[in-house]
Amino acid sequence: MPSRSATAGPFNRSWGAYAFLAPALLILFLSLLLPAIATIGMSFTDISFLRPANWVGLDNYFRLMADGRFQQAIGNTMYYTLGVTFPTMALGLLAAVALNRKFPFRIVFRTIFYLPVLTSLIAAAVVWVYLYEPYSGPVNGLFVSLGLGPQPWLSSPNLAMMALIIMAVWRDFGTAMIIYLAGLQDIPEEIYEAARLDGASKFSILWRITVPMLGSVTFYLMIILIVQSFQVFGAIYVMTGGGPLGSTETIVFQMYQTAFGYTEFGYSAAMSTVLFFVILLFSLVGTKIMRRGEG
Amino acid sequence: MAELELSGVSKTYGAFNALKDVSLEIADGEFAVFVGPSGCGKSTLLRLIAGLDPVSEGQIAIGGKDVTSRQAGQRPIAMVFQNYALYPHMSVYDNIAFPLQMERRPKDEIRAEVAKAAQIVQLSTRLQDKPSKLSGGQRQRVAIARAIVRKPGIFLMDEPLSNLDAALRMEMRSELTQLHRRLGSTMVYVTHDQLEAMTMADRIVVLNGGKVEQVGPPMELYHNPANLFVAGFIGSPPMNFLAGTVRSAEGATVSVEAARIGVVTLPFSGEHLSAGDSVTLGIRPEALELGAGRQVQFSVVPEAVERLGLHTIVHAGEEGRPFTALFNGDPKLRAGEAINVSVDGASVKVFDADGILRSRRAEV
Amino acid sequence: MEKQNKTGLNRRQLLLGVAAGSLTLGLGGSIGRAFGQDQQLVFWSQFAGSKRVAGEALEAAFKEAHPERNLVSTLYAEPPQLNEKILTSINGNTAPDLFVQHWDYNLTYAAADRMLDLGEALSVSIDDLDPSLLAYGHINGAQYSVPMYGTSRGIGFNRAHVVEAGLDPENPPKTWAEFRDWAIALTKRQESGFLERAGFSLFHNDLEAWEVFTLFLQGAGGKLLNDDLSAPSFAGPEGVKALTFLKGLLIDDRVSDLGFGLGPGGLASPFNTARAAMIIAGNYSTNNALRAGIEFAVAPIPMENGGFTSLVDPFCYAIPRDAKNIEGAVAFVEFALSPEQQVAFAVESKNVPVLKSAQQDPAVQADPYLSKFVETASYAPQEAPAIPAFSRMVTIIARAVQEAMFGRASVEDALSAAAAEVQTILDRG
Repeated sequence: MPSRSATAGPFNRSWGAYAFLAPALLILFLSLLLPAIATIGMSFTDISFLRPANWVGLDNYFRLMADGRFQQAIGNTMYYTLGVTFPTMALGLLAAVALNRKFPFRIVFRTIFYLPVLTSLIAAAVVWVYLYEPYSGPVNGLFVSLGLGPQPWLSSPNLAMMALIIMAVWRDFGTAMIIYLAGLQDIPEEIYEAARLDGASKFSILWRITVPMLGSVTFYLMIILIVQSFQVFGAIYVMTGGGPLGSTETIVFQMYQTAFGYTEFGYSAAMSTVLFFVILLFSLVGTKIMRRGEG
Repeated sequence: MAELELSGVSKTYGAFNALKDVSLEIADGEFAVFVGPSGCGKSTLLRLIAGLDPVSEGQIAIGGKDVTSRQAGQRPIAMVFQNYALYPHMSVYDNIAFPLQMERRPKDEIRAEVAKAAQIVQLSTRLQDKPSKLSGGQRQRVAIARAIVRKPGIFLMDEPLSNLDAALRMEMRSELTQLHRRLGSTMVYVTHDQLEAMTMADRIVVLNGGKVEQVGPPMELYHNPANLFVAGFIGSPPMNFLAGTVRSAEGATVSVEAARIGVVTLPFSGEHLSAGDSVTLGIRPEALELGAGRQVQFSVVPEAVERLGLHTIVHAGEEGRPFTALFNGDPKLRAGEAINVSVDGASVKVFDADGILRSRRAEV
Repeated sequence: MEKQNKTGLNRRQLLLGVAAGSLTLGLGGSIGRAFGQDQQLVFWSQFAGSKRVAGEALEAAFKEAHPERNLVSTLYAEPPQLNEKILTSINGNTAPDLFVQHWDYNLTYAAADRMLDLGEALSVSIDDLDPSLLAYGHINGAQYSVPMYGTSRGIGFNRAHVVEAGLDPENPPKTWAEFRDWAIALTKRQESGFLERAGFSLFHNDLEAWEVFTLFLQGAGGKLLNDDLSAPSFAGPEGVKALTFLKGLLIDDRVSDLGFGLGPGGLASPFNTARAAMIIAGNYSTNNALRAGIEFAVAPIPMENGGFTSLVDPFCYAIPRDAKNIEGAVAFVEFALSPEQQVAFAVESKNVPVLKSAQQDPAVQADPYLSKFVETASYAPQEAPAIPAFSRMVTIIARAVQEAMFGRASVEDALSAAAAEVQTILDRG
C-alpha cells in the first residue's frame, strides 16, 4: 500500500481534485477541443453552412496542394513569422538586459517599452497606417531627412510585409522584454560577479552567461511568438487587406476570406488543419532543438 | 604570488559606513583569514579587494601595484563564492575553462590547464557533467579549480565551506590548507567561524563594526586578545568574564577584587592601572582545573554537565552571566553539587574599563 | 489496481461525463432560444455609417405606422460583420426575419436556396423599380433580394484644381482621349518627380481596382461576363484595351504613382486631402469630400468614343425562407419601398432610390450631388454580374489589374490567367 504513488491512486481518493478540475475541463472541452475536432472533421467536407454538406474525403487537401495562392500565403506567413519572432526576441532581450540594471527612471522606461503591448491592436494599426503614409507620414519624413528617398511602405508588394513586421515587432517586444526581465531575476548576481572576475567582457557575459541561462525562457517566448505570428490577422485586415498583390495575405487571412467571404468552410477548415499541423511541427522541432541544446 | 596592501580603505553605502579606514598588509604566500560576526564588513572588504565594488576611499595594491581603479577581471585574483557561483548551463570542463577562454588562450593549452586543475581537486572523471549532477563538496571543488586555472596572485574565498555539512567541512578545511601549501599563493579567506580561522590561518584579521580589532597569528590572538571583543570571539567555549575592581597596582603585581573569586593578586605590571579602576577579568574555560591546585581558587555550582569523553564542559552561570569550565577527561561531577576550581594567576586576563587588555604576556 | 476501476470513476469516465454534459448544455441552449420571439419582427440592419440617420428614421416611421409589428432591429457596422452573423444564424436556425445587406452576400444565401422569392411575396410592382439595381438581386430566375437604394459611379473631380489647370469644369471629358488630357493636365509633379497631385488616382484598394477596370471595360464596349453569366468575357480585346489604357495613364502619362493612396481611405484619402484631382466617385464620396473642404463635382464617366457608362451598387433586403415572421418582414419592405420613405431615405443618405418615381422626385432632384448620381446611375448597364462567386471574381480581377500595373505580368497574360481562374470557379458552381 505505501508504495502506491499518488498519481496511480484510485479515483475516489482524489475525487476532490477531479471535482475542482471538472469545470475547467468542461470549459476547455467546449471552447477548444470540440471546435478543434469539428474543424478537422469539416476539412473532409464541402460544408458551406448554407447547403447540405457532402463528404469529400481528401479533396480539399489535394486542392490546397495545387492552390498557388495558398502556397503564397504559406510563404508570406513564414516570412512574417520569422521576421517578427527573431527581432522581437533580440530586441526584448536587449531591452531587458539594459533595464535590469539599477538606474534612475528605469520603471519609466519599462513602462514606455511595454505600452505598445497594452494598446488596442486596431488603434495601433490605424496609427501605423498614418506613420507609413508615403507622402506626409513621419516615417518617410524621417527617411527624407536622413537623405534616403521616401518609400511606398504599405503600397508596395515588396515592402508591405516588412512594414507589417516592423509594427508587429514594435508591439510585441515589450512582451518579450517583460518575460526576459522575469527570467533575468532568476540569474543570481554571484554568477555575473564570477564572470566579471573571470575576465569576461560585457559582451561575453551577455553571450556566454545571460543568453544560455535564459534558454528556457527564450524557447517559451519563441513558441508563443511563432504561434501568435502564424495566426496574424487583425493588423493585416486593417492595414493592407492582404494586398498589395496578395503580398501580405497570410494563412489566417485567407482562411477568413475563404470561409466568410466565399462561404467555403470545408476548404477553409482544411487550411486551418494544415496551419495547426505546421504550428505543431514548429513546436516539436523547437522542443527538439532545445533538448539538444541542454543535453 | 603577490602581497596585498590596503591603506585607509573605507566603504560607505549612503550614510552607512561599512568599512572605516582599514589598513592592512598581507604577505606573499600568507593565508589570511577575515573573521567576525555577520555585518562586520569582512565580505565587503573581500569584494573591494576583488574589485566587485569600488572603494569609497583609500588604496588597494596587489604585488606592489595600485589596482584601486582596475576592473574585477583585470586584477590578479580569483574568487571562490559561498554559493560556488558555477555556470549551471556549462559542463564542469567549461566552468573551469571559462576564465582561460576569456583570455583567448589556445585550445590545447586550455585543455592541459583544466586537466591539471581537475586533477588537483580530484574531479578528472566528472568533467563532462553539469554542476547540477554534483554534490555540494564537488561543486566547491569545481569552483576552486576554476580559481586555480587563473594562476592568481591572490585567492579570495568568501565563506566557501558554509554550505557544507560538518564532516565535509572538516575534510575540506584540511584540503584547502594542503592546497595552500601546494600552490604557495596568497589566500584571503572570509568566515564567521572562528574554528576555521584558528585551524587554517597564518594570520587572522578580526573585524567588528567595519573596523579591524586585531591582526595576528591564531595563538597570539588566543593568548593575547587585544580587547574584550577579540577575547570573546576567539576560543570555544568562549572566555568567561568577571567584573572586578582594582584594589592596588604596585610594581609587578596587581590586586583585584572580583565577583565569585574575591580578592586575587595577579602577576603582571600594573603601570596602566590604579586603585579603584573597574576592570573585567577573563578566564578561559580550559584554564580552569578541578580542585585547589592553582593560585586562584573558588567554587562553582554546575547547572549542567556535558560529557564529551575527551573532555567535560561544565556550565555554571550566575545571575544571567554565563560561566563555563572545561576539564580534561571525564571527572565525576554532578549538576547542583558545588565543586572547587582553581586557575593560574598568570592565565587570568585583565581588561581595563575601555576593554583593552592590560595583562599582556610576553612569552607566547 | 483492479480494485480502483470498480470503486470509483476513472479519468476516462470523467472526461466522457464532461463531454456528455457539454453536449447537453448546448442542446438545452438551442431549445431555450426557440421560445418567446413569436410576436417580434427581427431586423438585422446594415444601415450604418453615412446611412445610419436615414435608417433610424425609416425604422422610426415604420414603428409609428405599424406598432403592432413589434420591430426589433440590430445594427451592424460593416457588411462582413453582418455576413458572419447571418451565415452562423442560418446554420443555427436563429436567422432574423429580415435583413438588409450589400447585394453580393445575398446572392450567396439565395444560391443555396435559403431565401424567400420576393418577386412573389411582395405586392409592390416590380416594374416601378430601377431595373439596373434590381438585376443585382436576381438569380436562378427569381428576385430573391430587393434593393433599398444603390450607389452609382461617376468621375469625382476637384473643381478648384480643374479651374487652376485652365480646364472648363462645366465641360467635362466626353471621350477617353479628353479624359486623358484632363488627367495629364491636372497632374502636378515637383522637379524631382515627387508627385504633388495625381491627375487621376486610379484605385486605393482591391474593390476600386476592380471597379475602375470594369468601368473602362464597359467604356470599351465590353462586359465582365457573357449573357448567361456562365463564362468570363473581360479578357477579350475590350478588356485588354481598357487595362492598357489605364496602365498607359499610370506608367506612360504618370498621372499617378504606383500604389498611390493604397490603403484605408476615408478623410485621409488622396482626393479628400487635395492630393488627387480626379477619382472614381460614388454617392458615399460626397459627404467626406465636402467635410474635407473639397470643391467636389461629379461628371459622368466617358466611354472610349463618346457616350457614358457607370456602375450601380445596391443594398438589398432579403427574407430567409424559414423566417418566423415573413408577413411582418414583407410589410417592412413594402413600407420601405413606398414613395415617401424612398424619397426621405434618399435625401437623408444621398443615395439613389430604387423606386423610379422617387429618383425623379423634386426633393431628390433638388440635391445637386444626389441628382448627379441619379443621372450617372442611368448610364449603368441593365444587367448585372449577379453570381454567388462575385466577391471572389472581384479579388481575382483586382489582382490581375495590379499585376499588370506593377509589371508582374503583361496585360494580356494577367487578364487571361484571371479569366481562367474565374471560369474554374463558375464551373464549380
